[in-house]
Amino acid sequence: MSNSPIDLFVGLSAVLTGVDSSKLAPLLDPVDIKQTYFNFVQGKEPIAFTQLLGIFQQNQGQDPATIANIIFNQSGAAIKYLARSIILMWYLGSWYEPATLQKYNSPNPPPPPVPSAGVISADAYTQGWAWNVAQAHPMGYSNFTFGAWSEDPPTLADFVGGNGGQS
Amino acid sequence: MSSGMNQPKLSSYDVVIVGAGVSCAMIAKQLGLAGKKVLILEAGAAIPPNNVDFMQRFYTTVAKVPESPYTPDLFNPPGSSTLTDPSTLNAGRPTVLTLSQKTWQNPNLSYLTQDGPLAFGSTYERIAGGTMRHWLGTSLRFVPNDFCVDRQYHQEVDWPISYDDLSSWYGKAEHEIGVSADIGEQEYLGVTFPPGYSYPMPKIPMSLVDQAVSSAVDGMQFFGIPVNVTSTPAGRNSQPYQNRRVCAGNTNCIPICPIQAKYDPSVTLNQALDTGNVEILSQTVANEVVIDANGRVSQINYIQYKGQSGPKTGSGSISGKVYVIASNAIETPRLLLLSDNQGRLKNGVANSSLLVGKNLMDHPLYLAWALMPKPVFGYRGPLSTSGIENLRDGAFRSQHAPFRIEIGNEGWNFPIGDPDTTTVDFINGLNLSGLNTAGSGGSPQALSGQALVNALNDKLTRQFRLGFLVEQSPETSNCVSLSSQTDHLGLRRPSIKYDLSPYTKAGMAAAKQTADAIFDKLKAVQFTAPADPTDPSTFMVDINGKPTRLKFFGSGHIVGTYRMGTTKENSVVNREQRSWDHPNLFLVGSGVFPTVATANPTLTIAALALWAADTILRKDLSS
Amino acid sequence: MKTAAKTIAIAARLTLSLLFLAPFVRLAQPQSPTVPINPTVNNCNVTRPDTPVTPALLTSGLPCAVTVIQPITLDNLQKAFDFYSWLTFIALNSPAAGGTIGKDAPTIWEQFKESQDIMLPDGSSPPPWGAPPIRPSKCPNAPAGATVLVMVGKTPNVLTESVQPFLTGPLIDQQGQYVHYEILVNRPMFEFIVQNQLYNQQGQAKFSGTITFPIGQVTSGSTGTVGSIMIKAAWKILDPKVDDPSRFHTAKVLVYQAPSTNPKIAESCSVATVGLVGLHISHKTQVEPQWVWSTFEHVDNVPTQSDVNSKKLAKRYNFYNPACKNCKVNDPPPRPWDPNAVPFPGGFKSQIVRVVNLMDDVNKLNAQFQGILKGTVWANYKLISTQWPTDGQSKTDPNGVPAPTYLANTTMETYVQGTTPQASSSCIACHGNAATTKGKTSDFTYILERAQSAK
Repeated sequence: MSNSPIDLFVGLSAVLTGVDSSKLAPLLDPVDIKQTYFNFVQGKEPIAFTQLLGIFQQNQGQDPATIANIIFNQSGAAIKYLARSIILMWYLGSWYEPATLQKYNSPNPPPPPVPSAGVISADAYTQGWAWNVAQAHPMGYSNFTFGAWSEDPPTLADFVGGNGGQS
Repeated sequence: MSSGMNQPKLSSYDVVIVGAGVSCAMIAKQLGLAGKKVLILEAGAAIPPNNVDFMQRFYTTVAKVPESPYTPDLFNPPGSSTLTDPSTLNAGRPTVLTLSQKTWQNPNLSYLTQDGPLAFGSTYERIAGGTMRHWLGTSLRFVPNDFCVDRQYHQEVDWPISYDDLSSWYGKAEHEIGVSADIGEQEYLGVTFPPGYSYPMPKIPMSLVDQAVSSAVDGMQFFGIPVNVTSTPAGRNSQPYQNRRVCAGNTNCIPICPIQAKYDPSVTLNQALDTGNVEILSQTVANEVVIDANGRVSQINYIQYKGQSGPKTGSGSISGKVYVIASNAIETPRLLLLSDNQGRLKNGVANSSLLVGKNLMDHPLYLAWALMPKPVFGYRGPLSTSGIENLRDGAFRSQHAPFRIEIGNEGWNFPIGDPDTTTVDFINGLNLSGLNTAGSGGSPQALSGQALVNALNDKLTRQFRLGFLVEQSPETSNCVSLSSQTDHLGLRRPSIKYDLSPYTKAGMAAAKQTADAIFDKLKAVQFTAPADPTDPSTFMVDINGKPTRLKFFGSGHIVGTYRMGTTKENSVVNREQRSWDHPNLFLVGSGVFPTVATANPTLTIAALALWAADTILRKDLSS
Repeated sequence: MKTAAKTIAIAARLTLSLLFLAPFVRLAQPQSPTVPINPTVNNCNVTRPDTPVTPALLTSGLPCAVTVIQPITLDNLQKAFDFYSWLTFIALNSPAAGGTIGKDAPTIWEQFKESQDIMLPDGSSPPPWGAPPIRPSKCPNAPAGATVLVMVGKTPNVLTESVQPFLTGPLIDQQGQYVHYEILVNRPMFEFIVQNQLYNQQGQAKFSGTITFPIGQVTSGSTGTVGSIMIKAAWKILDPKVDDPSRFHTAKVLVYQAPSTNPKIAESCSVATVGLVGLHISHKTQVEPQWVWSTFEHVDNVPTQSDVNSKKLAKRYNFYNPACKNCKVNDPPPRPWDPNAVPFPGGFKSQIVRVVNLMDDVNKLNAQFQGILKGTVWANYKLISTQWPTDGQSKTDPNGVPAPTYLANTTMETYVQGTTPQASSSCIACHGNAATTKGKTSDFTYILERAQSAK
């Protein structure tokens, strides 16, 4: 495994999202949303992002649950909420500020809904993993054909890779 | 195009039409084909060369509401979350984003001045193609008793026309739109088709959600009526039609079909332009219908502008033999009321009955959502492919409003904005969805990795919702009038008074009870949120002796504000949709509906428009 | 002649009644001997993409599939697909009469079957492979064997070849003339349609199972099958006063205009000399079930947006006027559209700019191939790009995740260039929606939806 920042980002993202890295960032990746996201987070949270990648680099030999525990429970609020922002980015193609997520996690949260700071790009919306995890497709972006909705979709493993979330 | 294209080419036309929506498209094409010269005044943007801007705006907008792809931009600057001040817009329009307690009566956010007591929840577009740009595609015919509710059930009011009068026009409209449906399935509650008739395309296949509902619900009885799930007639292609593609199930009919497998009026408008006899002026706001000494319309005055908030660029007037106002059931009465003809007509044009703007109706929609016991794989297919139509008519109509039930294929997108809400819940340890309760003591969990994938898959694949479109009774107190607030052209914006009658509320209560029973039968766990007392779209109703608060949504079905009738006292237009007061003025669109019934109105709007075109050709322009 | 036709009709009717009587009996094969749909060939071009571009490639033949070499990266594979595209261009533009590509002569692909000669107005079976193009009675008798460019289908509600995706509008050149189009298929694709009776609506209704066109592949050495190839060509009417015919591949054709009621268009047919301005080649191969989509243009067509921005403009273009300051860019002409009314009324001319730049690697490859074609008209064509599926076997994306994501030819997807999902041109994404007249997925071709009802 290379330790280039983008590879670390993909490895970290696979642990966080539960989606296989071969699906998040296929070998042949014309859309290349990983680079869009990497650049976006780098621009938004340069310091915490570097720290988070560093934490992952030091622990990438561990099993995913251990890495998650280190990130979410042992690395401070800045890292914890940035990691959540990154998962949400992969799932929804939108950016939720770490500070916003923290505020909504407090004992006296602001009124719902949790505001998104915006859709990162049209491609980001179409690459959202929440839809794939639902064995579906983004609303307004289907590559399936007429009548597919009257039959079972591909399996969860087909979408998210690995063993399909079933551990 | 070179400059100067946005001016009339002729000094006078056979027909001048205000508003380039579905009614206009239907009429303009027929007139154009007959060689008549037609000028269309469209308040908003022209037909674009492609849907790139619409789709780009849709994808990058956080709140993907029905209005999101279209102009004027809901947000200023575009892409932000700050709503555009409607007083800065030359052709503003309402949005569902201004229906909360905080926003609905704020004139800097809400285009409509909402005078209550309840919020009017429906919106419309001001753009070439009109509100049908964001329609669902549902193309149901009215059932015969919808035209004579007073005679049959001593409720509401009768139409001056019958199902049989409209039947052939329905058929023509179904072919113009391209409706996919099965004739055998649509023959219910007295609906008949002429021998040999067939829909242009076969029905759209049922989704897995539909199949699950059907397997449990078929044969259940409500108000003594057995019900069953049927495929919904849809203006969506099940085969290639009109050079448009087959539906690919983008689950996005509202707000926009990305591949135009769903019909929208730009198809017919373009065919109207193909005749060479039709012109459209865009960004051209009609601001006065001028009446001459003989009571005939002599011209329509308009204002032109540049950019959605830019300056006025000019004004003008145009004359024709016949005039058709085809805006919608809010903008048409607004124009009629604005047209005071320098004080000569203080109640506005076509308003001797004083019914212009009155009897505003919608389908108040009761929304209920639940988790199925097993995956049904929503978020796929057209937004809705089936419904339960049996309760659109029956003896119960003497007691409470009827309704139809629409089965949604989009999970909980409509109810709670999913998958976003549930995804944020499970990642950030919240429970706005009601689904994140597996932590200790029912507390929410914050998940990542495979646990996150499994939790979301389990919830999202089992979500579904039902929408109940309840008939709203006509009430003169529900009305459109002129606000003291103005738009960027200085024209007074619409003001709305809106409430639900006891008859309508009883229909909503019956809808809720029906939803509860269906979910029980399905062994589905209901998550319908309790209505929030501060929400202006909620009301109290008695259900089995228990005061209960219900929430309603708008359906986008704006109806009734210039109704057709049998006399100039009880209506604004006659059965031909011709103004009683001004013989060369037609008012078309859903404003002519005396009642809203339970069918989504578009097909009936299109059928009536085709009929009006025929009348104009036969009677008004026969020479 | 008449008797034979009648015999076939009776046989067809017999077959039909058999079907009704015994629906589970497998249909007998047609009695006449049928040619193999996708015969084995032994001359597949298997040149590796790292081969130096020399004149030897001009006679290397048609690739049956794309030859790729390590490393398996997006850039390297794109180079292989683009190399394949040029080999295919050379092979298909070689003279139909034989010999090496060079002089301006009728090409191999121009002998393919025109779509209007497959999907006949009465739904009858098409004339056999090699039969001359069907000539509408309105057309003059000469020149012999001329291609007929049909502007509008002969039957109502049929997708028209003058009209672009999304009905966005025709392309008008700088002389106010409409650009004309044709769609053709090669023999394996034609035989598949004919032998499966997909040329009329009844045949399509009867066809059970999935429509899968024959594939190109190399089985060993240079042995394999060619598979299905579709061509869409865009032609500009050459004006001797301004156009230099020596810069184009030209053809003397019949420009036929079918009558139409709306828009009101009179039937017409005239002889014209046309120059090739755009060429799509799509090829179904074993590894690329979503097909491989190569697209070429004439070098004089349009400037790119960056050319415009940096004011690096040529003196003239086929579809852009450098002197016009107020021309609205990439905007379709106003309706109504009547191809008989030329030059376009009101002086309208399309002002077209390429929105997405060509990739550097493509520019380099174009220079190399234009180098070996120097001195011929073919040096005036350039590859825009090749779209191919990066994950052809994907279960969750039937489009196979195409690369590049978007691809437009300015003569054919003129008004839908760009990079917006679903709205901007992507060959595979759009053709993934293609269906038969019955709504069945039609394996990435829109030709089948043009079928009419058999009488």
